[in-house]
Amino acid sequence: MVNDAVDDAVLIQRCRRGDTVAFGTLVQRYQDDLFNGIYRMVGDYQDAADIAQDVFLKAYRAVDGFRGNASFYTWLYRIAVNTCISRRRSLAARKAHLHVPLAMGGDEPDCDPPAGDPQPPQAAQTREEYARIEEALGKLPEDYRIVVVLRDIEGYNYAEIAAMVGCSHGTVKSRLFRGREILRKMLA
Amino acid sequence: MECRDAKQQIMEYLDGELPSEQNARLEEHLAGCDACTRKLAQQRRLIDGIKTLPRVPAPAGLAQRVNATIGHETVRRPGWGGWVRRYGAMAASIAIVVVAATLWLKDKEAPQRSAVTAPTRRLKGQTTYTDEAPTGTDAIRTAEEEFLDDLEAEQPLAESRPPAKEMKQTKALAKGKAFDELPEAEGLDDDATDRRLFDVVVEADSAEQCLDDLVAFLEERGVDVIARISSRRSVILAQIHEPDRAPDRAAADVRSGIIAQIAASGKFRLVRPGAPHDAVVADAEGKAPGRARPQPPAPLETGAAASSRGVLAILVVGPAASDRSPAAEAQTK
Repeated sequence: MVNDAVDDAVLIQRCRRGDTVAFGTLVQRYQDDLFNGIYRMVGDYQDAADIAQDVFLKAYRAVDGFRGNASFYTWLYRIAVNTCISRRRSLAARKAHLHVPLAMGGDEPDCDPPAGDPQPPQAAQTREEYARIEEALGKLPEDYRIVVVLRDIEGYNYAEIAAMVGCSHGTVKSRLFRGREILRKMLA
Repeated sequence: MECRDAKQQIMEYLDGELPSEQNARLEEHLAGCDACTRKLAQQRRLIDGIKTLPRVPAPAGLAQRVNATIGHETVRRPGWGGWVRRYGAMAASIAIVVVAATLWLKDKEAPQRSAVTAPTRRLKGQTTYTDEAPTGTDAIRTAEEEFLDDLEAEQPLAESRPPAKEMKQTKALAKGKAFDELPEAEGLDDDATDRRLFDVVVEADSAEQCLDDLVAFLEERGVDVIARISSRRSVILAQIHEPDRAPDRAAADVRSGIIAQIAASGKFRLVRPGAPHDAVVADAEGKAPGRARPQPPAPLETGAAASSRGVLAILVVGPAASDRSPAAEAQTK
């Protein structure tokens, strides 16, 4: 059970003194939100579990470096994004034949929908519709998926996403637009 | 505004990233353009669909695995003995992890010994004690400043407390000393002495499985498992919260209630703390196959050194998978 009355800052101070119980409270507090975000970014439940564990361990080891400029959860999430990207690069290096080509940002996308564009997806209200969105999200190239998750699921703004992912503001816009366009076409 | 410009701005508009002056111009255009309004609606539906995806909760045991790992890492931090002393009760849980993990490391050096009949050894020619030094609630108390002060001043201890020499040994461990550097102590060759320091002692055919079951049992009842040490001497530490009442008394009440639930569940073979190894209280069927003295599950005594700090210390005695003999493996199949 989590005592939400205890502020993150207090718990972090205790963590810095080596209080593993305090860190355990932070883990309990954020594990569900963090795991959900990681799962949406990597699309695999077991991989997400491994990454989430790795993220918390990294956070514990690096807690002295947390300055409080952002929220603790944002800091955790930044570690998560870096871990997901590192893992993707590592996997890509080992499994070149499974590499998914990733279109990098820079050029502005064509905003005009193609002629005969199918009907747009309806609002997700049923289990089946959610399943379709999940499937489409899972098929999205990871560079796009990470940005879409950070914006649409986690609610970070473009500048925050650019800082987390390590790219320019324009690249965030481009990836987000392309990612959403791909999703829209897959769901049509 | 042209449609082309409007369509390029719709995404930023929906994301709240469009500067306010462009916002107004876009809204003005949308008011008179059906095509761009449809484009806006398409994007909004997609975003809403992604936003409302069901959230996937973290897998059970994630927090437990993280806690267990950082607990072990804490062992390797230098100079933590003084840290434990300075921060007193706050360090209580850390101390137990450190001591138990130290034992675990020692266990790794001697993997052939039986789980419950570990031989004693003699150091410095005269002193006999087990290398399964005091752990559990004992170590928690060691972290409490008052208790350490008693030891240092060599003041007489209350009869209910474990032997002073035993405490001193734990204290030495907490300072990171190796076993060979431990102060001499008497009366530590009795396995029961060690068990008395825990709130609950559970006997199991498989320590690992029993640990899993106990952790699940505790978590189902809202008890935070703050450490799980898997070794030949398997230890669970659980943090008990009862914020609405007087802390010390409430923690003791809750702890007693949890212990009673463990006993009444019939899932675990409880041994009376401090009792000989074969004094099984009950097993799943209310009897103890192969044991001479099966007894009803109540009343269950709590450890003599039970903590008043809201920590429940459980010792699981039983072979870890790697320690089990072929005969034991066969018996469980």
